[in-house]
Amino acid sequence: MAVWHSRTAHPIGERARTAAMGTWGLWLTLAVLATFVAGLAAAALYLHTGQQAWPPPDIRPPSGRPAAIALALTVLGAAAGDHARRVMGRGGRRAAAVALATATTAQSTGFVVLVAHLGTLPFHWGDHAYASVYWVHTAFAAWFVGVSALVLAAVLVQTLVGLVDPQRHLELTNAAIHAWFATAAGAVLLALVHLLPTTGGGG
Amino acid sequence: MSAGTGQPADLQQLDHVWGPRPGFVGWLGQCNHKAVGRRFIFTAFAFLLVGGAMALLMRTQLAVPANDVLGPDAFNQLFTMHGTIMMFLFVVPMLEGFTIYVAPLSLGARDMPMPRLNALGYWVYLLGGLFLLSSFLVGAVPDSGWFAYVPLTGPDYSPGLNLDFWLLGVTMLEVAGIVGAIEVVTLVARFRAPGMSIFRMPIFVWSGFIASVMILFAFPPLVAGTVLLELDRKLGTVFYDATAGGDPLLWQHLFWWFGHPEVYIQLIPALGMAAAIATAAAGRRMAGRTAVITALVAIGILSFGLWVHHMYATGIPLLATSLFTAASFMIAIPSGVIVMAFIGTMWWGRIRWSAAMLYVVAFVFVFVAGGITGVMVAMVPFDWQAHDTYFIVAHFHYVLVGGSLFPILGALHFWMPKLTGRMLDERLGVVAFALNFVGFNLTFFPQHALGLFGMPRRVWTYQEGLGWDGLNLVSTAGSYVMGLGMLVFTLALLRAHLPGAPTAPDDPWGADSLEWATASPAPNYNFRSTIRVRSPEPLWDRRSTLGDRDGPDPDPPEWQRRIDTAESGLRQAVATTGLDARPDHIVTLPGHSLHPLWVSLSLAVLLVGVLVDAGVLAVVGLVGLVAASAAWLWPGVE
Repeated sequence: MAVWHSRTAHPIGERARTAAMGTWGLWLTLAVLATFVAGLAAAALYLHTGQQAWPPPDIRPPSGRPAAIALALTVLGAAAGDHARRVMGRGGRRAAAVALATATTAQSTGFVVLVAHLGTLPFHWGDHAYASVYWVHTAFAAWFVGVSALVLAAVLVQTLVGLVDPQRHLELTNAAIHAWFATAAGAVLLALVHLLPTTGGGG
Repeated sequence: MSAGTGQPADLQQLDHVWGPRPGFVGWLGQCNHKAVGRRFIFTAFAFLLVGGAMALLMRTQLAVPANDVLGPDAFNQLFTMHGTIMMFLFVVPMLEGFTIYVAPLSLGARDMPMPRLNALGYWVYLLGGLFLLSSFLVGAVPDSGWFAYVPLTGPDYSPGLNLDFWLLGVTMLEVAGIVGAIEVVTLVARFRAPGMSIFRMPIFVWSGFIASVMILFAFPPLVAGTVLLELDRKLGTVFYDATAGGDPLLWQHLFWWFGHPEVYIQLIPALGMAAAIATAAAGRRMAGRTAVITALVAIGILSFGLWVHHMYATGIPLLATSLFTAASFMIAIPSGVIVMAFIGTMWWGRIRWSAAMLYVVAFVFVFVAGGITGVMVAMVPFDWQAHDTYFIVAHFHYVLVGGSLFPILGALHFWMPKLTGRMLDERLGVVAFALNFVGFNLTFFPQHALGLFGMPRRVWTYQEGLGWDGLNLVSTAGSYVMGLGMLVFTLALLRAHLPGAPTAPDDPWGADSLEWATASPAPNYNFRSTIRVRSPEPLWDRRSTLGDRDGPDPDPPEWQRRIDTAESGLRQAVATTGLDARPDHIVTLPGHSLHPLWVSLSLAVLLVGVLVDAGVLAVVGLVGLVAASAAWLWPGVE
């Protein structure tokens, strides 16, 4: 069995020297999603550049605490997913399942925190471009984290029913990588919402 | 030998393993690259005819001053849909279709590396196209140009469903393009025949690979842009609303970040097609082969630095326009290298003329003309004069028809034997070529002058006595000639498929690349045995070991015997290392799946729900999407 533990690929020699198709698919998909995030980031930065004040004087910026909590949970989830991958590689299927359950719970909670935060915002998304960026970029951060939680949950189920095991766990490896990507994407989007200077480029 | 088939037993087994399942469901679930590639190509050709018919209607309206064949609304709808169809439903899918069909054969592979992803790309493309065209049925046709500039496309000035059709449909088409690109990049990285190092790849495959990498980085920002615009329209966000801190120019930046590379995404694979045709026709290696590949890579990189040259008239700072002018000039250098390579190939080769080769010559001529006007509009002072005039219409048609349509028509002639096992009629092909070439130049050359005489683009009519009458009439006459050419081409296509039409030999052109080493049309399993490549022109050298021509390898290694006999009953293929293509591992591929269809249908239901503000329908689509994706990704193949 190759180092990447794919169920559909079998090395010709002692071990394969290249990545499995699933790994290629994952990294290319992440490249596409990263470019999508770059598009959203460029939009926020461009709009910020055109404003004298960010947010405008009549909008009070909400607290960044929910975003920080959500991000911390997401990091915890990604780390737990990574731990699951490592212990599965060492043969610990049960420990991996526990770590995966932790990862799923942490990232799901992060998702819920972000969505709940959106429900408490004191402004409407149509009030100003700042409000639009705040809503939409936070929602996309939640979306990335939510999808990652779903993927981790699916791999958890596959682990529990015995489809993912120490010999075949490319799914788990990919889910763990994806969890880190979702964390990074969420961090970038939330940073754009919370950390841009209050004086816009037009100031 | 196996009784009744006349085939050796291992060939029968190969055919059985790699063949489709029987019946309609088997047809729907086909994922093999040949089935999907053919579907892309013929669907895209059908969309070409629809888009071409729209162009004829527009030219009819503009034939004489104050004409009333079409009203202003219908004209707006037609020029919008004509551009959208040609850009999103014809050229890119056609080029992807050729890449999907031909590239695995050219690389000596048995299939694409992720066949179900391949099928997903097609279904999303088809449904996205039907979604866009269904706007005609409900009378809400997009009408704001193929680039959908805001604020015209915002909720205030386009309140109906028209632009929602465009935004959601184009998003689907972008997804289809991205899916295909992921597939092609992985194909090139992993599925080359043993020995086909990266520099031995055919130029056509190089071109498809470069365009696919470009798609990965050009399409997602447009998806981001369309999502934000749809949110402005549906939910009332204000990303593009200048009165609330938004900025309409943000759309232009996001759109042209996609839009300019898109031109080269359409050009580069077409250049690869033309190179394949010219190489075969000249009977020699492409002149400056390495320089051509380097130039294609350079164009791909430079094309991401040019988007602002579409925005000179928007008040961009002078320093920025200067930089983008310089970048626009720079791209002429690799383009010139490629043109010189084509001329050199024809000059030093012994050309065997065919309709396909005529299209290549036309491509060089027309593309150079379009490139020269491209250098003109890259200069800010000239662009300010020519912007939004018919000069621009003429320029981009010279680039896109010369750089994409003509090579595609040539490629249909060239690869039709491999696609269908039939040859296109050469006499009809030459007649169609003559009509297309003359008609094209009659249509678009006068439009340069019309633009310089001040005729703005996108006007539905004009007054008499402005000096535009005669040139418009000539242009319309030319469009009819070109329409006739396309009709003759379509007839040739249909005629080749009539019962009793002559079948094609395996290698009718004496070409150099591996697709010609197998039967026409390519069999289900592509090649009888694993191929070993030792040069960029494996069919012209005497050292490469070819599957069908040389027969089965008498003493293959164990892994090769397993693949070549398909004894496991699984679709197995060899994956090779990235640069030098050494055999690395055996991959088992899926052969039949309806999951891509369910995912595509769910996506379509979701978008229809968004379109008509039916939340329940959208949720049904979303749940279907998650369920179908989960079923797809559930571990299955061992």
